[in-house]
Amino acid sequence: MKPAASTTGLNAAQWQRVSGLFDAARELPPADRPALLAQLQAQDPALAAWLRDMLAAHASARSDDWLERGPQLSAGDIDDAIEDGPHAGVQLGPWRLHERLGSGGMASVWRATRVDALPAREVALKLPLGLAHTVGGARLAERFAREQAILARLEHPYIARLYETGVAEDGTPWLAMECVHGLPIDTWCDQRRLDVPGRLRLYLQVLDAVQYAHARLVIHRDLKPSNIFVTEGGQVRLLDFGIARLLAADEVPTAGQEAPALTQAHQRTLTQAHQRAMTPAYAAPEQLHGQALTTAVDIYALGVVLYRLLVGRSPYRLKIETPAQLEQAIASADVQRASSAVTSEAADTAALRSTRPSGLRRALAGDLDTLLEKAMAHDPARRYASAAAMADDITRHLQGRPLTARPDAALYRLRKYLARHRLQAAALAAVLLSLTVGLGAATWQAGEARRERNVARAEADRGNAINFFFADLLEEAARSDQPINGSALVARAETLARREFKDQPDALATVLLAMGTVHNSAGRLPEARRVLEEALLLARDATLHDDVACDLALLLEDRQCALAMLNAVADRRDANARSRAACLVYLGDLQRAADAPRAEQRYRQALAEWERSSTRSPHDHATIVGRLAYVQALQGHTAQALAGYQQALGIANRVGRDASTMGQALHNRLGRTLLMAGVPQQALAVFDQILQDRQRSQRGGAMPSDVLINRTQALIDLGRAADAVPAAQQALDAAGATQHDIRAAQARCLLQWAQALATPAVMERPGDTDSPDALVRATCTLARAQQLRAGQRWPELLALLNAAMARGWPEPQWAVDARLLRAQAHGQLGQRAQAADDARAARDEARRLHDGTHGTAPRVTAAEDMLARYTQR
Amino acid sequence: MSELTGLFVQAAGGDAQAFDRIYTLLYPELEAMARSRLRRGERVTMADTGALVHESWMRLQHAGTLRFEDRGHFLAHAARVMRSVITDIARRSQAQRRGGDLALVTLDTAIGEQVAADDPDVLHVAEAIDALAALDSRLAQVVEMRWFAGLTEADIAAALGLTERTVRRDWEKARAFLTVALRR
Repeated sequence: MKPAASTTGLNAAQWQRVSGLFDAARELPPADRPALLAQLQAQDPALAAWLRDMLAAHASARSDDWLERGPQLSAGDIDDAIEDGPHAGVQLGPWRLHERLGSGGMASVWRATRVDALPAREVALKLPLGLAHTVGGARLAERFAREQAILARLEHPYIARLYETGVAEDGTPWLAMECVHGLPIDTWCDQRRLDVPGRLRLYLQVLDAVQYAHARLVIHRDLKPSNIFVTEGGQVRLLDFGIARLLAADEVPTAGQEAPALTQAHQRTLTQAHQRAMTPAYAAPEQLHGQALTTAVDIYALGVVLYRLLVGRSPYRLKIETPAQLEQAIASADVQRASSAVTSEAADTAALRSTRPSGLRRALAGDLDTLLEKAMAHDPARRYASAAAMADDITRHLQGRPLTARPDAALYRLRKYLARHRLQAAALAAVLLSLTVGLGAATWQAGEARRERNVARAEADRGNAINFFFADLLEEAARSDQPINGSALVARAETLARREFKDQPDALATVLLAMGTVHNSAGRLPEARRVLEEALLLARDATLHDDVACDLALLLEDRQCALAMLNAVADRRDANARSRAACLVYLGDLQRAADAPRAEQRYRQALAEWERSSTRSPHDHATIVGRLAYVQALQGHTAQALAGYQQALGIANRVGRDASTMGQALHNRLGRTLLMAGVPQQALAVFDQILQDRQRSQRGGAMPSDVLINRTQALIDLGRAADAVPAAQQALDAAGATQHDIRAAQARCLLQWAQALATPAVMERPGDTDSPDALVRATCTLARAQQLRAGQRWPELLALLNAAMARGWPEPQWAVDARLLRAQAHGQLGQRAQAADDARAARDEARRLHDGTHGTAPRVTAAEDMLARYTQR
Repeated sequence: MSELTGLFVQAAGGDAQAFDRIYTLLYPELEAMARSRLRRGERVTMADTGALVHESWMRLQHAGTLRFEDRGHFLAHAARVMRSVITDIARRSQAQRRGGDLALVTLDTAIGEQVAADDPDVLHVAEAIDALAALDSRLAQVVEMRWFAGLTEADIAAALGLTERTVRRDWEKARAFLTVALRR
C-alpha cells in the first residue's frame, strides 16, 4: 500500500486550505467560483486542481452511484481464502458431511449421513458458528439435550423434524434435522406463478404449523421465507422451529428446566428475550428492543412474510434497507398499506402472481390490507391473538365472508398520526370523514345479506348477555356487606366485563359505551375517552360502532374532527335512526353556542329521526324536546322554550322518570332558561326544588354541582351577594368532590364574582378568562368585570368587555350583563353617548328575553335605570 | 460497568491503548460474522456490514456487555473495526491469488450497472479512506459509519455529537475527496 501522502499529494495544512475553500465555494453561486479558483491557481496550481476536481465531483454527485451505497465485497469463490470451517468428507461426531447446503449468519448447514447406521439416513446437519466459544462446551451439551427434549416432540407434517443434537469431540455442536427437499416459499410461489388465492391457501399450512408449535409453547422467533420451504408436492415444511432459542448465545434461566412442559416458569423461559438469532427485516418491534418475546413476534413475522409473498416487497417504505433505517421503520410502525404498495411499475411482480398491477391492487385492497395490518400491528396486543385466528380470517376472505378483523389499524394509525402532527382542521375533517364513511360503507356492503338474517338474532343474543351481566353485577352488589358507591360499581363492571366478554368484542364494547356515559356525566373525561376509544376499536356491529363514535366525538378536543365524525353518522342514510338522532343532538350541542338557529335545525332533524326509529324511546324523546326548548331560550324565544320544557317533563313523567337524573336535568335546564329570561326568583325556586327532591329521595353521593352552580348564579342575579358566597363555595366543593374540572373552574369564578359583590375590597384575579369552555370563560370574564367595577378600574373594564363582546357569549343574558357593565364604564369615563347606546341595547334585549315570563325582572329594571341615568341631562 | 463501557470512556478521553483494546475485543466477533456471510458466496454490501454491526450491538447490549448509552461509541468504533475486517479479507484473498489477474474481490458498483474498467477495487477505496483519515479524521469517521455501520446521517450526528447538517456537509466533502483521490 502506498503511503497516504503520496496518494493525495496533500499535507495537513494544504488539506485544511482545500477543505476551507471547498466549504466557501459551495456557498457561492456557480458563476462566482471561477474567480475563486483563478485566485488559488495563481498561488498553488496543485491545490487549485484538487479544489476544481472536488467541486466538479460534488456537482456531478449522483444519489445512485456506488459512493452512496459504499463499496461491496463480492466473494466469488474466495471460500478457500477465508475458509477455516469443516469440509466435505470430514467426519464430525457420528456424521459424515457431504455437501454444504447453505450458511446462515450463525450456522452452516450440511447434507450429512450417519456413519454408524444402515441404511444411511440423510439429514440436514446444522453447525452453529462460534457457539462453543461463547457458551462453553459442557453447558452447551446440557442445553442442547434439554431443548431437544422439547423440540423433538414437535411432530407435525409441516414442521421439519429435529432428530438429534450433540457435541462432537472437538467441541463442535451439531443439530441433525430432517433434510427437506424443496424451495423457499417465495421462490416456490414465483416459479409457479401462483395467484393471490393460491398463495393464501398455501399460507394456511404455514399458519397451521405455527399454531401447533405455539400450542406447545415453542416460538420460532426467526420466521422468514428461507425458513419456510415448500416441497415439490406443495407441502410446507417449516425449518428451524425453536432453533433460534437454542442458538442464543446467552444462557436461559434455569427455572423450570426439570418440568418443561406447560409450567408457567417454563413459559417464561420460552418467552425470554434472546436477541441473537433473528432477522431484522422480519423482526417485530419488541424484538428490536430486547423485550420479553411472546408468540406475538411470530405473528408479526408471519405478517411480514405474507406481505412479501403477496406484494413482492418489504412492507417498509425504504429504498435501501440499511439496518438503522429498517430499525427506525419497524419502531415507528411505518408500514405501507399493501394495496398502495403496488405501483403501476410492478408489472413483473404482478405477472408472477398471474395478474396485472391493477388486478393485484384490487385483490389486496380491503380485506387483505386489513388482515396484514392486524398481523403487523405495532402493539403486540393488537395483533392476531393466534396463528389460528389469522388463518380464520384468511379462510373467511377466501370464502368471501367478512373478516373478524376490523380495519381498526387504520384508525389506530390515524390517531397516532394525529398525535404526532397537528393537522389543519379542515384537512383533518376530510380525512376522518372519508375514513368513517368508508368504514361504515365497507361494513355495510360486506355483511348486507348476512346482516338481514342475523342482525336481529345477534342483537338479541348480545342484549341477553349484557342483561345477564348487569343482573349479575347488581346481585353481587346487593349481596356485598359494604355500601356500594357508584365509582366502585363502575370499576367492578369494567373488570367483570373484560373477563366475561373477552371473546365477545361487541358485548364488551356495549358495556364500555355505557361506562363512557357514566364517566362523562361524572366529568371524568379522560376516563370516558379511554373506554370509548377502546369500544370504538372493539365494536364490530355497525350501529354500535356509530353510537360509540358519536359519544367519543363529543370528547374530542378538535372541534372540526368532532363535527366530521358526527356528520359522518348523521348523514349516512343506512345508519340506525336512533344513532342518527343521537348524533344530530350532539351536533346541535356543538353548534349551539355559535349558531343557535342551526342547532335548532339539528334538533328538529333529530326529532324526525326519533319518529322514524323503531324503539321511539320516551327517554330519547324527552331529551330531544328538552334540547329544542333550550336552544329556543338561547334565541330569546322564552315562551316557546318554557312550553317545550313542560312537554319534555310531561314525557318524562309518563314513564316515571320525572324524579330521575333525566327529570333533574330537565328541571335544571328549565331553571337555567328562567335565568336567561331574567327572572332569577323563579329560577331559584326551581333549583331549590331539585335539591329538596334529591334529599327526599335520599340518593347518596355528592350534590349535583351543576344545580348548585345555577343556584349561585340565581342568587347573584338577585343581588343576594352574601348568600351567593357560601352557595358558590358549596358548588365548588361538590365539583371538587366529583373531580369535575370544568364545573370547578366555573364555580371558582362564581365565588370570586360573589365576593366582588359582597366585599369589593377583595381583588384576586379570577381563573380562566380564556377557557375553551364557553360557560367557564363567560363566568370568569364577568367575575373579573365585577372585580374591576368594584375597584373602579374603568379603562381596564372597558378593554376586558370589548374583547369579550367581540368573542360573543354562550347565553344571551351574559350579553345584557356585559352591556350594562360597559355602559357604566363608558359613563364613568365621561362617554355618555356610548353609555346610553349600551344601556338601550341592554334594555331592549332584556325585555325581549323577559317576554313570555311573569314576575320581577331585575335585569330589565337595572337596564332601564342605567338608560335613564345616561339620557338625563 | 462492563469492560467495553469502561474502555469507551477511556478512548473518548484520548487513551490510545483503550482504543486498541476495543479493537481487539470487537474484531474477532465482527470478522466471524463477515466471514460466515461471505461463505454463502454472496456480496457483502453496506447493508450487510451494517446489519452485522447492528446484530453485534444488539447481542452485546442484550448480554449486558453494553448499556444503551454506549450505542454511539459502539457504532463509531465498530464501523472502524468493520472496515478493517473487510479490508483484511480483501487483502488476504488477493495475497492468496498472488497478483492473479482475476479480481475476485472487487468493488461492486450500483446494482445493475456495468463494472467500468477503471473501477477501483476495495483495497484502493481503503487506501483512499486511510489517506482521508490522515488528513481529516472526522470526515473519515463519517464515511466509515455510513459505509460500514450502515448508519443514517441522524444516527451519525447523534453518535458523534454533531448536527445532521454538519454530517451531511462532511459527507459531501468526503465524497468529493474520495472521488478525486480514487481517480488519481
